[in-house]
Amino acid sequence: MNNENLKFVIVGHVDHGKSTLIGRLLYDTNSLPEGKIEEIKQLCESLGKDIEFGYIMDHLEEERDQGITIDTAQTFFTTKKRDYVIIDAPGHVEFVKNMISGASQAEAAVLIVDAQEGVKEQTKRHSYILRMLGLSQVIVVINKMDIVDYDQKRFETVKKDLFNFLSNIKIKPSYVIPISAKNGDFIANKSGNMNWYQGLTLLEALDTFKTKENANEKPLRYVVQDVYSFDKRIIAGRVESGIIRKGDRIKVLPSGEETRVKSVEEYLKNVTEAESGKSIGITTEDKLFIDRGNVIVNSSDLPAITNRIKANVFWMDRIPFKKGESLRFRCATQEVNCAIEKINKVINSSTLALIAEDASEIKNREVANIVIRTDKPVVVENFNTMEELGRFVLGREDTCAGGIITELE
Amino acid sequence: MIILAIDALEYSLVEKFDCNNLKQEYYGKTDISEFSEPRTMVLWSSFMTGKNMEREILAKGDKEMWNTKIELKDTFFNGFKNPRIIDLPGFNYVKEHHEQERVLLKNYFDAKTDEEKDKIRKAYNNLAFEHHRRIKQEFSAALNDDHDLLLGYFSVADVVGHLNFGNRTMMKMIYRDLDEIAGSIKDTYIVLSDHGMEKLGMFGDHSGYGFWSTDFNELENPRITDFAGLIKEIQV
Amino acid sequence: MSEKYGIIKVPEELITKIKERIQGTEFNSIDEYATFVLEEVVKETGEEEPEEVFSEEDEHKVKERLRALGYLD
Repeated sequence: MNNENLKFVIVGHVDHGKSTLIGRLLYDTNSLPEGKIEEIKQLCESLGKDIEFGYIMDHLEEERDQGITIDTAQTFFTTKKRDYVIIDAPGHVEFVKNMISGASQAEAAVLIVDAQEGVKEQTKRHSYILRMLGLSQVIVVINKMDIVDYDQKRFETVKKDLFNFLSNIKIKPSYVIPISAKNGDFIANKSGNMNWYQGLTLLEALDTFKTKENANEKPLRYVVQDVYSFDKRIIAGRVESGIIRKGDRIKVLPSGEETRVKSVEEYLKNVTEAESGKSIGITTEDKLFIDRGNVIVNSSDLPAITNRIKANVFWMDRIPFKKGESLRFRCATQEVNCAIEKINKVINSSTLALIAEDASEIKNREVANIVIRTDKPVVVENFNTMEELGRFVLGREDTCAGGIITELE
Repeated sequence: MIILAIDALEYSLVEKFDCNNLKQEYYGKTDISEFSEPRTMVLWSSFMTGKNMEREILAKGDKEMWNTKIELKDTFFNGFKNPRIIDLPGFNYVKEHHEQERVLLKNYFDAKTDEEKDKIRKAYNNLAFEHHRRIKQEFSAALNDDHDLLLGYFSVADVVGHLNFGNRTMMKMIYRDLDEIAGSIKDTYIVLSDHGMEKLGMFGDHSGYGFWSTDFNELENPRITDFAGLIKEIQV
Repeated sequence: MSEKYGIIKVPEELITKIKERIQGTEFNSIDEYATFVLEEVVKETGEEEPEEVFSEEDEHKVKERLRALGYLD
């Protein structure tokens, strides 16, 4: 096993079995405290009944209420392949805010649907939020199959309903798995209850997902913070992704001028390269005009240079945004004025209900899908390909919204 | 009519563990303030006769009171054609068993070492659980029989509670089980306890009120002696 | 369950601050905000209940109680 871990979120209607699924994942992967489970098993025997998963859930929920053992925000378990972190936001508001601000980044999502109840309004809202957040690794689990007698027809009906909706919002789940979180069918183990299903278990499916790429392996993005002229001209900045090396052929954006890295400068150190996450300085062979906000890249695999951006934003300021107001757009070290040209949709981040379409206002804790027009071209990327240049904030004097870029023009 | 007579069923735990079958539609605390202490034998005797039996029972002394055996004609059960009463103290409980529990309880307090105490506690719990399983079976079989009154007396919450009330997992599992028993009843039933229980560190002491629930009638702070009349009334 | 309401007194300065704070939030009134905050606080203190451990003092107390109740003749 290696050290990578995959963070995922479980979403879906509140009564469709989310916490049972979490409990089941922890139980089946032996991630629960051994002593307690043994105690519960013995008590079941004492009371003359079979151990049921519900009793363990009971115990987990109680611990959770008391805030012990199970951290409500992050829960861990391990498969042979890797560690997993379940990001279980106490509410949608926190989840959406964390996703957009980058505080905690889910790399995959499990959408849970009750086999008996089928697709509900909340199922749709949650799917929509996955779409807004740009989560592309999605597993659908159709839960409580035990209640519908493990009926294949019912499974197919719910699956079809859900797919009708998901295809409208352009989500293509990687897997659809019939499960019973209560009985443990197709979570960690296959079961004989659904011989008509030949696919993977939930854990097997999760194991096929990709974790976030190591930033070093991505194309170079060196964001310029400042330029100092001493005995030599040092361009200070931060390596957001990739590795910058002495001798590299580089391109300065947005101007597009090219040159080579003459040296890599790190305080009191003698280095020839710097990897992602490092704040360093470089000197160049040619004296180009470079300024704060520029992005230095390798010649291939270029970001976009544009003044029109489609994005999803989370508004976190008491004072609502009203159309016509000018805001500051900040992405990496770039900072320009911008206007919000169009507010396509506004969503309540708590209930995920649609508040308005083609709106003129965004209020505190609302999520909006918007089109931004910046005064000057900026160097940006789709959030899904390059998080570092796909995330931005909007501000007045202070930051009032965080956003992710979903489409470029 | 079915009566779940549960020793030491504690109102606040029924509430806390959200035992919906025990709660039914209407539920609350009983008023046992007329008694000097919440004594099991005194309370159940008063329940079945419909009158305060404290003086009478206490006159027998601590040892002899456990041998109380009230005759059918002196209880409200007499008003039924085919009553079935399972293991009720003061009426027909399995004396030997409950006596054995009290012996182990005494041994526990007399024991000198922690190791010894631990061993006795385990034996004590096991004895209580074993009896509970037996009563549960008997009760569940009787549910299928044709009785116009069925009373099942469950002592596990009291017995185990005395030495383990601070163990949340254990108490919760016991309450869950009692709730499942209530859930298995298809007819009208009353849940009643003699007294509740309050925490004393890891131990449990009797609390100064009992628990009641019905699905047909709101009762305002009833006394345990009110139920004899109440049940007879419903019967008519 | 029907809810009954009572009146409590808080400094006016605090009311002004809350008024500012709830602008543009989901809270429709100062009452609603205050109720929410108080509920959260009360909830926290009510739930703290660690599992008990053995103590000789407790054992002594319960022994006396059980004797009084007639269990230990």
